[in-house]
Amino acid sequence: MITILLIIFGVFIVATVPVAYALGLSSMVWVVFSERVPLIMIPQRMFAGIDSFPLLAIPFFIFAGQLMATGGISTRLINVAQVLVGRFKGGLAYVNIVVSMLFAGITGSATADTSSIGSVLIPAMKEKGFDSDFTVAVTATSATIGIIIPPSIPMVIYGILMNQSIGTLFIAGAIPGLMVGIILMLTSGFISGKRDYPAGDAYSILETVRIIADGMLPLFTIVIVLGGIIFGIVTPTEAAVMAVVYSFILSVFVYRSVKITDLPRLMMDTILINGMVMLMVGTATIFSWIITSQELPKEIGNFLLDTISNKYMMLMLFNLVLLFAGAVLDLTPAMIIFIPVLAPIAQYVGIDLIHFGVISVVNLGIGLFTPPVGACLFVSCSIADISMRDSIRGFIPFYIGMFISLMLVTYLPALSLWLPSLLIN
Amino acid sequence: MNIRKALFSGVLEWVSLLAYAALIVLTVIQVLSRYVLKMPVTFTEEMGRFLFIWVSFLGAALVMKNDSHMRLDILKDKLSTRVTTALELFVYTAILIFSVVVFSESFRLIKATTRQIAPVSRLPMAVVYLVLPISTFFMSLYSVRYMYLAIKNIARDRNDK
Repeated sequence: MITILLIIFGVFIVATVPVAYALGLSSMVWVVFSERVPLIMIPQRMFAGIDSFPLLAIPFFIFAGQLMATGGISTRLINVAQVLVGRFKGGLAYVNIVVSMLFAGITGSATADTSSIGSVLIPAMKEKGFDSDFTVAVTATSATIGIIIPPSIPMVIYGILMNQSIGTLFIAGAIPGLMVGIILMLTSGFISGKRDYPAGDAYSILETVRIIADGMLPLFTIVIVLGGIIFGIVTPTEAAVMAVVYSFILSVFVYRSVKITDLPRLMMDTILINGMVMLMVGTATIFSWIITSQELPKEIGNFLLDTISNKYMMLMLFNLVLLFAGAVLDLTPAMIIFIPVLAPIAQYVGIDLIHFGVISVVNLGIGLFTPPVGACLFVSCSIADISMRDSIRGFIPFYIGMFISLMLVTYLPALSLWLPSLLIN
Repeated sequence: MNIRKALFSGVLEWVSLLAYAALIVLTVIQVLSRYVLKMPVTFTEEMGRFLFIWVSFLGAALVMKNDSHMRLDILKDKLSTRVTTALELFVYTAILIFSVVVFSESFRLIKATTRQIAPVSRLPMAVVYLVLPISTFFMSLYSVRYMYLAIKNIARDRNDK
């Protein structure tokens, strides 16, 4: 019976039925044929699946990200990064990565990051003589730090799907996110040396002080969001709404980069993205309920334990599945389809669910700049006006860097688990 | 014609915008009341959840209005237009079936829960559940419209030949 559910679901997906409906319909077919549960369970589960206070963080983080991305705030963050790392050889590449890390501490999405940072830095880098392929690669790969460093929308979805504390997941992503940033900076430093990219200008002390002071207001968002969550003062949802209020005040009243009349449009965009995600979460709740009730994870887990008893090999297998999922699907559907199947198996074979959350997000993050489907890759290629094929050469060193990061995150659980254990005790 | 106008104009958009604005305000009040006024948060939390459910399901219907729910589109360019139109027709039929079934089942859900009352706000749960039939009603409507457009495309291709 359960195989039929999976086959029907696969057919729907290949026939280009939207993921949310494919999940709901295949579950519906299963319900009708198994005759074990009444159909009324479908709306009931869909409702129950999104009836959760932590999920509210998602529309708030999306909206805060949209307010942050419109001028004002992002330019000031770029200036701060410029002062910090711009003067080194290949300076603008470091600026790109550092500002992605700063942005990561404010918003929870990678594509918003790519478009707002990329639209400023990609033209600037090209003008300074950086090759297009390298420029696109550094923008798209560093943007994925946005979903590893807290806050992170995919971590919220993972937490809801697997019933894990979202605060803990956020904290677990902090060190891996910083590490990915450092590894990407080493990678781009190496390439900058080889291709002889220019250094930026150095700033006088006076200018440095002025620019950093100017960036204090946007940087304070990081304190509000991260500080609030890490020290347990607010829940992730409350931190998200505070980010909305703060970025609203900054962009509407302080920098005036958003007009009051722009707000309905920005809110509508948020409502649409949120509606898309929540319908998927709702129908995935039915789907994953069926899968767990049929003890599928246990069966696959037992099979895996019999065939590959080695835990390291098993982790490698999970990585491969997630990398594939992230390459062919957008991040959220990949997460919603694969996590309810993979994570229980991982738990069954003895992998910590918080650690597995970080592993999953890093894997699916790599999918964001991997063809054929990679949102960050598309966005940055279209800003740079270069085809995906021409950009691939620039990506190769960054794939190597991300792969090293992935291996470190996968095989050193302490990178993810040390900080949460420290703060919770 | 007036009915059609009402269904396709911005009613859904405005209701969801208002609900989303209310959701933001309510959650801000929650943060304030917890840290400034030291009040319990159970009421705002429950109402926030309900508003969020409304915003989400209305938003899902609005996404269907533009037909922009995420799908696997890497195969799309590689197929002939004829296959694509046939697939489109299949996709919208599938969406229609799902929406109609959820529509009728959610009415049964509402009937079964008329006496159920939310623990904190004392709001009848039927009111909260009402978003399910509303959302799926609009989804069915929009999928029928896209089916109609797909059929029109097929007919036009025939005439061209």
